Amino acid sequence: MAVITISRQFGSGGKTLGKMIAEALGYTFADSDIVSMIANAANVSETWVENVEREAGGKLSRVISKMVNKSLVDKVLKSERGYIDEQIYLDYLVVMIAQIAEEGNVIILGRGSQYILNDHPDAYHILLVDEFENRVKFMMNHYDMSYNKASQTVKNEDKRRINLFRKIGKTDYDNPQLYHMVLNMARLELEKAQKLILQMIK
Amino acid sequence: MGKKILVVDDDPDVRLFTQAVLEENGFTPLMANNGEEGEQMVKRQKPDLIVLDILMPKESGIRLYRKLKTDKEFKDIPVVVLSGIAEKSFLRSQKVLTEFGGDPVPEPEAYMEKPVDGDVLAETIKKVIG
Repeated sequence: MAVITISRQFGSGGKTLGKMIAEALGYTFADSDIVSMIANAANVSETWVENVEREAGGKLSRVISKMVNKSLVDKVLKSERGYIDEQIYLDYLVVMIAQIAEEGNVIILGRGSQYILNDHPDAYHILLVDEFENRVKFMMNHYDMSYNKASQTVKNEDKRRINLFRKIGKTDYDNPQLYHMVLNMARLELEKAQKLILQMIK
Repeated sequence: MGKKILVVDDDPDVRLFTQAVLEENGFTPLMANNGEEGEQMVKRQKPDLIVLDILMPKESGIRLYRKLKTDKEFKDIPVVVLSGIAEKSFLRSQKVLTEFGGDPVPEPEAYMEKPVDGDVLAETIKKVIG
């Protein structure tokens, strides 16, 4: 009934590795599922949740929250449609990750799960790190991106990660002491990383 | 008139079921569809107890719970959580939201996972409300 959280510097192979481990163990891989669950609970579109998630803690999000307030949404939609902002997103994110973990046998990708499940008795927390240039190369090779596009994506995601953690008052997300295992993906192939994690779980 | 019990749940079947259970046991049920409506009802009606769902559109049960339990005027109104979310998950979420910068909140007076038996729900409410 283990729960594995994978935190990563964007582009270090977290999603790919997470899927590989999930397949090897027969576990669920929870990534976009979390977005669907939050959208369903809040009765909003997945795109809306993704937008809140993308902008969490950022300046744009604060501007949007002021512009798109709840009463305006109510007036426009005039129905039982839901509403989501950063705070509601965080409430749902925390309870959903706690619930997913309770069901067990799951790999959870990012979204502060290392903090949410910090003292969960069955959780293993893993951090993947890599050099910026390697992460750009990873995105080019695995997601068919040009150098410029991959480089911009990694920079944007690095900023997003800082903003998301700022929102919850955390700055120590790269501190090895939070994790059971920190893997330097500049020195490991995905297959070797998978083997190490599987050894730890067994 | 029996004690006022506010039920906050977006599921009409749960509201209907809970209303029947409450009426059978001599309580006066008040109904709200979501957290936002629930909050307005709390302010207007000052219920003796709240039966609260967690996952609801607009204002979630989590937000309403945290608002009530940190409000001087309403913090002593007992809350029975009735949810599809496991109790352990709810309690973890409250601890984590406090760690993430929120105010500390106590545990609810009772927690029941759906589906719930009508007699058990009534007994729990009676026990909590005294």
